[in-house]
Amino acid sequence: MNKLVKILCCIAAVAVIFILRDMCCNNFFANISYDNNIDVIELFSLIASSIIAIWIGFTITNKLTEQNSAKQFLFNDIIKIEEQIDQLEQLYKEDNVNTTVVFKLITLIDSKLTVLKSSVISFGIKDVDFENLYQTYLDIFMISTNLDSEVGVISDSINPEVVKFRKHLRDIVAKINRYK
Amino acid sequence: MKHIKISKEFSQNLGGRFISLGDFSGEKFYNEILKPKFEEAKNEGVDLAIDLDGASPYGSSFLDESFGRLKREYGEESVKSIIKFETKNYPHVVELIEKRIW
Repeated sequence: MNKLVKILCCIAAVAVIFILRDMCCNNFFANISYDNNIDVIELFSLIASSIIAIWIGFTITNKLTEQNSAKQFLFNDIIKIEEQIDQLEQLYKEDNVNTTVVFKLITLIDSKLTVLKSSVISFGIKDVDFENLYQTYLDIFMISTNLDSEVGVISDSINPEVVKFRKHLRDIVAKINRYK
Repeated sequence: MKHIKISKEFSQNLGGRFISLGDFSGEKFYNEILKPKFEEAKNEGVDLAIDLDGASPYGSSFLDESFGRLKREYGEESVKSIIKFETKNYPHVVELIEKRIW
């Protein structure tokens, strides 16, 4: 549940407790009197305030649901990119590197980054810096597909780039998470 | 405009850097296709379009030994003004060439 909704629920709960306590302490129910006359202005005011309250509640819930599903969608894409980077890193820890898988992963990561970037733009999330992430991706591409290097050399030089890539990806997660 | 389609004129399965390391290397592509076509385009004053689609994988070693060597031999400005890449599948390869190899 969103933080704002939790806070509103807490405030409402505290208000209800105070009202109930006040009612009980002052023997409220014994002294209830009813006025059967209908005041048109009060009735109109009651209906109008109810409609406004329902509309505000509906709008807030709708907006929060939209934001949360947009964020969840982007986070799922980011998780997949992380998994592919993990796989790439893992490949270079093995004795025999499967270069076909390396190239497949490099291409997949590129297409995922392209989709993520265009999704962030179409969801209207601003100030997300993809340039650093993409530059690090190009460094990883450069190192991991240098087929003439010793595997050990690639493994040593790919690690700092993978760390950098993860850091940039987490910066993007933080930016998306702050989006309201 | 001159044109090279790598998958048709060279191979669909690309190799590494040097001829001595295996088939369809960057060195072979440079010597047999890229350099002659680039010189023709340069002499005629036309662009050289290179279609990357249909061939794979484009490793950085292959790209450096072909396009990187072209830049080292003919100069960045000349190469950038003549070579034009065409691809739907490998925009990241073009990015790599333009931002890391050149």
